[in-house]
Amino acid sequence: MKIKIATDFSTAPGPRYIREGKFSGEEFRTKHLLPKLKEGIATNFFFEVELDGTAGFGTSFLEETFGGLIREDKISFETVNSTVKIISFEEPALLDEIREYLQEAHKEKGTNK
Amino acid sequence: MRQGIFISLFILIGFVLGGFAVELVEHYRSLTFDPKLSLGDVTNASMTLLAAVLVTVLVANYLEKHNQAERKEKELLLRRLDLIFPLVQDFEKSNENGNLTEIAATLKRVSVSCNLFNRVVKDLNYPPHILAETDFDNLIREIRRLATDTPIKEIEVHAKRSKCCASVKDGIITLTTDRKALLDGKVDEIKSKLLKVQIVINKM
Repeated sequence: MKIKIATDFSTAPGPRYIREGKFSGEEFRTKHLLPKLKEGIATNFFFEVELDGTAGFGTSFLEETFGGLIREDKISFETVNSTVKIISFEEPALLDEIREYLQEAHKEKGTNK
Repeated sequence: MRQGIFISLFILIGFVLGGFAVELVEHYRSLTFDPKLSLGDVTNASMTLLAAVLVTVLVANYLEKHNQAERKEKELLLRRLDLIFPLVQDFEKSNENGNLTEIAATLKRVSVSCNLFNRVVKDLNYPPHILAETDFDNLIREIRRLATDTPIKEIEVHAKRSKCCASVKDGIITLTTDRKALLDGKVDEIKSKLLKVQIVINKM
């Protein structure tokens, strides 16, 4: 299973929240990523999210998309890590960035418990 | 730089051989030279001279080619760096109108170009300090954060009171004056870093 943001969602990802503009991270997470993630968890398969081919990402879009899985959808850090594989050949540095968003959301979740 | 090492090596070998020759002459002062020359002697001497000339020509040719290739490589790298400056300027322009998608797009062009440059330098086996100089990842990440990050809803109210906040409406991001100043500082930093890389590569 694979989601390519550029073809399955938009070539021009936008802001963090739906209320802030088109093609937001919140929209991508709730309408595309989360259903696929749940499917992946149910079937015990991991799936790939490809970041290449878009015009570019803002920090908020990425944080809301991936960090939001833990913060908003209450998916565990371990589940996200073992189910979602993120790919970017154009900007490999984004992978580290997303990993940190996941870790931060995980930490915040821990302190909010 | 490599040519400098070669020249230094040759000078050192010449110096050692010269010293050795002086010692030899000093030691065998009583040597007598036979004034008669045979055809074999002449042939030997000619062959030695020819071989020396041939080796000199080959070494000089190799060094010249090597030097030319290095110069060309440097030229290409510097030209590549020149192409990144206008991309940074495009990013600055996109910041003025605040369109989030455009900001992310122009920054991606800077990011991809810097990343490709770093990969080329890595593939050419440049020394670690050059690799460190051409690594723009952290700086671009910081710029992306300052230009496009907005607070999560849980802290939105509190963050809006901060001097360093940003908000988005209809895909247009608005930065506070302080945040804008920080971003401008980081953009200047990337320009300086690019310039420094140009100078370092040019000096090599």
